[in-house]
Amino acid sequence: MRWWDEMKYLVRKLNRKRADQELEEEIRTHLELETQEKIEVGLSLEEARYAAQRALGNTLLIQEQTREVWGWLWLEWLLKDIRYAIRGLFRSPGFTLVSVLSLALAVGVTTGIFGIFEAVFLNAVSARNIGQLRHIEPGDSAVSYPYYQYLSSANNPAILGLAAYAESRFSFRAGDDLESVTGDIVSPNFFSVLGVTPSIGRGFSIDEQQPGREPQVVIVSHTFWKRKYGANPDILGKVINLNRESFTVVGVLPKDYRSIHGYGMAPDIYVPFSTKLVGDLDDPSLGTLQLIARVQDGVSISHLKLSLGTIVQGWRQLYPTDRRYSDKVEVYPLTGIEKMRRDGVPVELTVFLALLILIALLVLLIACANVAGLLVARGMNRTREIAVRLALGAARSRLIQQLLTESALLAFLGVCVGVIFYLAMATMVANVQIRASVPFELHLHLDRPLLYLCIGLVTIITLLSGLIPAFQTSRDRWRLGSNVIGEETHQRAWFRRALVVGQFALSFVLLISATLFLRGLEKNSHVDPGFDVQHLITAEVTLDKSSYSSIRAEQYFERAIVEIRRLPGVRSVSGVTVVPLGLERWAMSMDAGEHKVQLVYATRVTPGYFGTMKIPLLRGRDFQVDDRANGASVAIVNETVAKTYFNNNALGSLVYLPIPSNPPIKIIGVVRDSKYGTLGEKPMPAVYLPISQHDRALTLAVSTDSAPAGTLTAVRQLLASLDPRVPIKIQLMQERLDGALLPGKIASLLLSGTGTLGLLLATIGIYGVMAYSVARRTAEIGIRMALGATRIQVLRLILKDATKLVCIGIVGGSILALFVVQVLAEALPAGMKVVDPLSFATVGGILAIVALMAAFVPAWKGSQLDPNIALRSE
Amino acid sequence: MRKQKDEPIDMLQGTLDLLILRTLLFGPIHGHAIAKSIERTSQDVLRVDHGSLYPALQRLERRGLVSAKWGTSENNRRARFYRLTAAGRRVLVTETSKWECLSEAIARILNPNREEV
Repeated sequence: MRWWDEMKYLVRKLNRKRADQELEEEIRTHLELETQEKIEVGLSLEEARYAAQRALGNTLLIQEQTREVWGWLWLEWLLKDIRYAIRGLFRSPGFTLVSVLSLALAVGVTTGIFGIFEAVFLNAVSARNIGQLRHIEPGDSAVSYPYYQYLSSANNPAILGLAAYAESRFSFRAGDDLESVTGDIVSPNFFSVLGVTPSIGRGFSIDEQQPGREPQVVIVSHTFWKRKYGANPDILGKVINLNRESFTVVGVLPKDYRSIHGYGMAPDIYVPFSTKLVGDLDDPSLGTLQLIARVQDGVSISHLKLSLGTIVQGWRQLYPTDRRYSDKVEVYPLTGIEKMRRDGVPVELTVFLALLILIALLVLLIACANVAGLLVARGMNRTREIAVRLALGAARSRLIQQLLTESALLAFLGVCVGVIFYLAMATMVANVQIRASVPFELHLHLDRPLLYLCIGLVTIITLLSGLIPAFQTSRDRWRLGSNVIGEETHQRAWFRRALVVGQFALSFVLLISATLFLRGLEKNSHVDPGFDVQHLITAEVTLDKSSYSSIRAEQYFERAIVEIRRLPGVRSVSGVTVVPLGLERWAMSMDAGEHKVQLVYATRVTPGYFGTMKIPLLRGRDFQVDDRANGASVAIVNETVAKTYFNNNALGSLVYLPIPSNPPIKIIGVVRDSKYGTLGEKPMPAVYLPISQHDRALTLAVSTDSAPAGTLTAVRQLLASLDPRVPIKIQLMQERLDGALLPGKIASLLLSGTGTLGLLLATIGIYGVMAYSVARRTAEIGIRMALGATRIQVLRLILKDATKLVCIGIVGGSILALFVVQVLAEALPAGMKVVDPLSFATVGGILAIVALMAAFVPAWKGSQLDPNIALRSE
Repeated sequence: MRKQKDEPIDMLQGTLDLLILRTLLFGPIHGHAIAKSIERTSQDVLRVDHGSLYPALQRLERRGLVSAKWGTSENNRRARFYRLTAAGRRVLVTETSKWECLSEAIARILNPNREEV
């Protein structure tokens, strides 16, 4: 700890005035004591004083020498080095600008892309101590409110808190403004179990949980508050109208709150359970609730499953007829791979985003290599300066300190600008409004470990490459004064040349991947979704419960369908709860007997739906209007279900699905497969059920004879005339499909963006290498020209060198790309040829042209040298 | 021992430092008393340059070999009393042995016959 003591000493001496005073006093005492001593020897007072002063010498000089001891010598050196480094960087603004921008772009892009990945997938839910939280699915299914209450009252000691939530839609009204908003109906302890406190106001109180209290309170999202109330701070206590009921705002969620649903989905409002909102809340057979539990530390998943298992069995004894819940209890974390798998996130999206991070890191490496190259080149040009300074007696340690300072300054600037880039990107992403049925927001957090990794990498690489000249000169010390030309340029520049080759190889891989994704996208956009996209209009209609009873809702939809069909140009109209290729999914576990239980896509449709969508009915019959009235439980399945479960013999078979009263359901028809979640998906099992009385949110699918855009307004006007207070969202099917293609578009955009960035960096790299090489070979060029070489020959000489580098880079990149595309194949539409000679050739050609253009500039300069001057250059 | 002989001994610069440390071995005293003590103990052979005494003391304090505290001198003036720290004690031991090696070696060179006697 000696340095610590020294620091303390120096800090004490920072107060120069006091230190000076103390020293003065000390010297005064010394003089007095000495004078006294001299008097005792027998001198007069005056003589004694004089003698004492003489013995001490020059007081000012002593003070001066002492102050030197107090000095922060290393600090002064550091300041001097920084000043020197800044001057040096200003002297070569091109070098500084390129280096800082390279580093900044790389740091910004890497942290930004990872930030998106993190916000969407890894840590997509706001919660305190998220490691304790688990999703719980008894019987592999969503549960009913009574079931939730039953589980809560079981008081499992392993569970610290159990909360429930259900997605829903509300019609929100403020004056004439009518809008369908999304929200979660939650148990009042929802936010306390999550550990989230609203930024304004409070969370729900526990007495809002008491049954029969009918709490009329609401917590709104920050975006909703901003959008609807202009972020008015007086929001608390305001009464808002949801589904024609009044709700008092008690809180606003934090700005960067990430909802429990993850993936950037951001519901507008949160309300506690009440029978006013959910009429059949107390029906034990109706399951829409998801459960989250805060689990005691140290409780293993298997133990939790076991203890919940006995409670689940208790429920079955209470309701022996309820077939919906098996004894199996699923427990999984709120975020991460497991959750993504359960939510049915397409594998390709995950692969793609993981790939993107890899690419971002590659770009970071390229940028670092670039800056390393530039620094080494710069250092090489300074070997002479360094050698002179060493010869003049500069300490090597001081020299290294100085070089380190310059590199560190560069790294520091790069990281700072990079963070600014990142923040700009985060603001941009936060403001992106994606038009989808559920509001979508991304809140990027700066990922600390990643930032540290970037800073570490950038710093280490710049420091190391900055140091190279210092070490290299040590070997060359004796050579001072000799002309350094010719052959040794090659052996010394190998490092830079290797870097450039590596950069070109990496850029090649990036660009090949980007073209591959573009081709995949192209192919995807031609994939047949299995239904007619060109002639479809979708209209999402949300009826609220207070003004629409089940019967009135049924009447509304019947009338809407009949009236729309009368419009000119309309071929057919039908209703569906979940439109394919949208953001909403409805998956349920289907029990086909003999323990064949699997998750299937599910949706409810009106009779005639398959006709409207032009999905061919292969066997059996369509739903009929009286299917529901007869109380018969029937379903239509797709080919995949028929094949995998019933050996193509599905008609008349029985299945069980988690729907009210859980009856055996008879399969009455088989339709052709179509795409449900994404265009790229493999054939998925799907089941269609008839519309139920509970469906107040229905999407009307309108099929037209010709281009549907003209009919859009007519449909809108007609629906408005039926009931102007009903919120409606109307869209062309083609527009929805564009949304489904969005991930692929973003993918290829990001890939080609990073690929171009990589190419740019590599180009800068090759320009640097060639410029440096020409500078080093000035004398050589002079000799060649003096001996009769023409300018063209000189030009060719230099370009030949560049061509060699680029060719090695492209060949290396092709070999690397051959491996990479095999991995990428996972994320591409099935049956796509991954190794495409045309794209390899194109990318290679572009790389070669760009590289040679970059090399041409210094080569041309070299060929224009005046041999007279060139010969004397060194 | 052998190893220390191989090392170049850079003592002349630090001679005053060594003497100060040695003087402080007997307990904390102030600057003037240090100078007097060195002169007295060397029987006035060594004259301490009072001017270089104080920078030397500051140097030692910075290196953590001595610590200083304000106290009252014999003539009732405020004076800084220096005391040897544990680190200072360790340095004193190693420096003393180095110095002994050096002086022995110099003595042998200057007076080669003495050893044979």
